[in-house]
Amino acid sequence: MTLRKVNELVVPAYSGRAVEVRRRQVLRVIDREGTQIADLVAARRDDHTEVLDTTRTRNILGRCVLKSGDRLFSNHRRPVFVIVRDDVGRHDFSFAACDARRYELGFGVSGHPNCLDNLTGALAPYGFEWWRVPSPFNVFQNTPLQPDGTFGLGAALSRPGDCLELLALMDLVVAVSACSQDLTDVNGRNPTSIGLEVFDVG
Amino acid sequence: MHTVTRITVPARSGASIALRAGQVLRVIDLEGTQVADLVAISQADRHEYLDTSRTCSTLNRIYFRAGDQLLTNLRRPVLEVIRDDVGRHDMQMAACDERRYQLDFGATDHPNCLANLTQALASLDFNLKWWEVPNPVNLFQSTPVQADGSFIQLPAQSRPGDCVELRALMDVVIAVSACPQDYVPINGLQPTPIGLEVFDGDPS
Repeated sequence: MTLRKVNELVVPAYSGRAVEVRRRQVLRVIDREGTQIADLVAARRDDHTEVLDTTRTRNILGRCVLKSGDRLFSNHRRPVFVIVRDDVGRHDFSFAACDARRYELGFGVSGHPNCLDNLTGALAPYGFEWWRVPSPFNVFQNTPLQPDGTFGLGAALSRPGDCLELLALMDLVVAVSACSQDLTDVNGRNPTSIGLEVFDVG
Repeated sequence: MHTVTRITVPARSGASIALRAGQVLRVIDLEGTQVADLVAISQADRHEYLDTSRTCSTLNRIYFRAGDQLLTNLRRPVLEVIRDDVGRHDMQMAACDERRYQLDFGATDHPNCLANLTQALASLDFNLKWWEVPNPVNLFQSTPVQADGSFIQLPAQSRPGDCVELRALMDVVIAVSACPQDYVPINGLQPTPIGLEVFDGDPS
């Protein structure tokens, strides 16, 4: 598989960006400095009511852990992405995006940057309102579900330059937030930027 | 406390009911081993709804217990669990839907929870598109996560008459589906009805 880069951008720490990815293109999500979560949502480019769906993906896979080669599914139960490279092997697709209320309730902080606002802002040009932003895939997030049903809350295992590559199976609008959580260990208490690269596949 | 309303949700179908803050909904597995998918939407703002993802994230666990508050997508408490006879429910699985039966079982037009919930909400003039209906809390559903991250699908542990009681913490519309799944054993391969009772205050 030959990859030819057609687009790249940096999602600055504490912010969000959107990128369009065509069917048969590969999206590479890069943890540029390490120990940084990237919340990712996706919607079908020509029908925004079809979205990448973490809950149905859990159902269809029958598990809450991901492996290279796994497909990720939409709310129509159609495949959206295939994982074609995974340098880390630890991600989350059970947790909600952090949002303003999370920081108010959990930490007594108002006005904190948060993934929901980052994603909503990135998707605003596409006509998404906050309540329509799906629950994200939390790339590099290390919060594994335990058999007792609790989540472990560990620092992301990704090292600088580690990436996840997703082959798109439909034309998509993708939004990514460089997670703003600096009050727990998940981003090493030092949120950093995320790189996005889009490739044509030869 | 007297019962204000009593409804039987027939097997494989759905029903809805409006609750005022303070009222208690009792969800009863009438015959045992039957899953009840439940969604709740704010009467004041239909974009605010019971959110399984934010509830699990905020509780930091995927199972609720008596005493827990279930939260909306604004992380506001919407329902409080005041009684739980079973102790095994699910907040990780999607509602079964038309595509689930087509893709996995080759069955067309199979009754399904998503259609049941959508229709039940519409009967109270909550006309949501199917893709706007939130993920349900799956009462009595026994699909626990294993150490390797997989989910197993077991028959519901509820016996006839077992119930969950939920106190409304805001004015909500509730829809419940008596899950029609008869291809995997979560309902004992034989879907049965669910009972709903509403009380003005604590039932006990």
